[in-house]
Amino acid sequence: MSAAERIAVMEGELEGIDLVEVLQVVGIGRQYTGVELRRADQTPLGTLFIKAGKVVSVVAGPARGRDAFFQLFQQVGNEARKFFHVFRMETPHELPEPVGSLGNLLIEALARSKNGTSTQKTGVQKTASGVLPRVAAVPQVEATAKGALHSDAAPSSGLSRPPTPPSSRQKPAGAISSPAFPAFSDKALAPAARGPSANDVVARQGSPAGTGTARAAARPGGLSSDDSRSTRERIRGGGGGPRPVVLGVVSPKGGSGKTTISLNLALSFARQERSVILVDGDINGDVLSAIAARQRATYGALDVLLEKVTYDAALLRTVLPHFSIMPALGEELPDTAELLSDHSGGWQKLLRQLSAEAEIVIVDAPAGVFGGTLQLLGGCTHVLGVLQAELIASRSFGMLERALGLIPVASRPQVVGVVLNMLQSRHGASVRVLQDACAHLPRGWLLDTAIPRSDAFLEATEEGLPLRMLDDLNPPAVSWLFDTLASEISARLELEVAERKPRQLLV
Amino acid sequence: MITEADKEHIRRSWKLVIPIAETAADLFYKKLFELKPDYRGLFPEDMAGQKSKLVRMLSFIVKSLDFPESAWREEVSESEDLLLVLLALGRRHQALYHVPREAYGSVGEALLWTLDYGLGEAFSPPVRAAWTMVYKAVSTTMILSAAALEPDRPLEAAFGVGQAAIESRLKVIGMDEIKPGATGPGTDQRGKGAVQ
Repeated sequence: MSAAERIAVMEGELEGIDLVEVLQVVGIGRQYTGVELRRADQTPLGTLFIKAGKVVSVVAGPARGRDAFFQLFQQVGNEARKFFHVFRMETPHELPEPVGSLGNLLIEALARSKNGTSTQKTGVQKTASGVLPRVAAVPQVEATAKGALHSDAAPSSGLSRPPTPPSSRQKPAGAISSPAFPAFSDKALAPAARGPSANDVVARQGSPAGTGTARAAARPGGLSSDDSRSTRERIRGGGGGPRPVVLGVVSPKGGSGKTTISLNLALSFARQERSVILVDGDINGDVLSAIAARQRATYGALDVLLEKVTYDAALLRTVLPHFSIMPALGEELPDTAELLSDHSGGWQKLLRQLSAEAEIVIVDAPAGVFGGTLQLLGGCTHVLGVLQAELIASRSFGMLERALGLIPVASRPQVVGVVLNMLQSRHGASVRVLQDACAHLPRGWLLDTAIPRSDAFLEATEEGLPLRMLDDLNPPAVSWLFDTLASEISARLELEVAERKPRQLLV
Repeated sequence: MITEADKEHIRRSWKLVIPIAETAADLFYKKLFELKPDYRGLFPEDMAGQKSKLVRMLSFIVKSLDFPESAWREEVSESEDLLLVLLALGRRHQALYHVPREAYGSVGEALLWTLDYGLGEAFSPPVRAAWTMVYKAVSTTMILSAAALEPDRPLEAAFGVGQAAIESRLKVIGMDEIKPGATGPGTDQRGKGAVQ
């Protein structure tokens, strides 16, 4: 090829594919490779040339070199739609001194990020060994009887070598994982298992956790405790703005209580003066069924995904000023082809829009963790797993990890926790699920709050209300647990908490 | 990104695998079919050749990563370039074999399990992290190549004059064969093939 000849290698839209992923892939090549980034109208944002993990040159408008590299990252984050074109060229006769190591530049780009929003777009975190996607893509396995293949001792079959002495990492051969949670290991999805606060390094940049009396402002953009505005105003206000929270409520098994959890949790968040949008991601429209209001929906999320209406047309207001609901469907059922098509990109766009409107977006996912659930999870920042306290549910719960592993790393949500639902403390099998969850779920996943099975849920459904609204003066006891659950999740997400006011009992 | 330390971990641990590579390949496929019994039908009855391909592919990956940082200016041929070979392999898996995306997760799980089982204490956390990083890079590249593939675009267009050389490399590695008549997930009438 001639020096100026470009050979296209791959191209596409940076939608569901992260710029960092593209650059990491290009970085393993040793050819002189260009990455051109373009806007939706195909005008160029800039171009990088990479060879063997070194960034050779960068151009972005008038900027060159390192400045251009960081400018490109910022510009890409600001564009709604952007495209990448990867091409090869003949290596110039005289290669200049490189701009830097691609890995180091990516880390620095991360460090320069001023707020959490741009972080989520680049999807990188700093680790001891460089830059990693947010969640490990490859499920890790339990240690088994190790050493069977070790060259200095293995017999020819490699299988009959006695196992090495047990250690904390080891289990007997064949005991890959718990029968109740077959796909999990205590190291599986380890970054997410530590919880989002430990994981999202950019969210912490320049923003140490609140100390002393300032329980708020744990996140970038959060204001100090002496700010006189209401919590909601603080959520809306200031600086780079808070990190959006889009919480997908999922379960591998149907009938685990996702809709009940979603609805009552959304109400508890709203009662904490947080702005909340509850999105029904299930085509069956269970959220409106739960509140006996199916006939109220003119438009639904699917109409927005199909670009028939804008998202605001599909939002239903509630009696709480901070709480809106987006049903799954409107008056008209879309045709089968529309229902079955892949809406991953549409979900990402819709949930991004909604996260600009509310502090917390809760998405009630369909049953199962593949198919439609997988499509919408790519637009979620976090996942709340619902584990029904029945053995059949615990046996299938490992599918959650597998499903998360299928989502591109840049858009993969973090597991904020797993809530045990429908616990029957007088039934041994139900309690065993709790015991298994304590023993085998990755550390930190199981939330302290567990929801018991209760007749109050039947009464609430009959009335078409969330539990807490059944009786303002004397709500069912179980309804308080959703306030507890909301507080526990808020703490894990490091959401702002209003300052505790000094109180006294006696006048 | 794969760091110099990762490369060193990969190089050293691979040296331990080489003498018992045949057993490692046995264990890898045993684990893979345990995880995904459906995949057995995608491979030939006699797995000897398949196991050899696996080892050669892993050897190629390890060798491709084994260069000092100071050698970044050095030229490598298209057929020796890990990125181009993996992109071609990814497109082949997508266009000919129709390998589902989730297969990459199962293969990765089987690979790490095999290394963990086989290397014993030598498969320390940093070594595991290095292999995880490398497999992640490999699978992401193949997935990305498949994602960026336009349905009607011939494979050649993506690699221009280097295509023949890369195809030769795939042949050397043993990744070019299509098993006739295979059925099961990931195949169709256009190209029934083996998950490599």
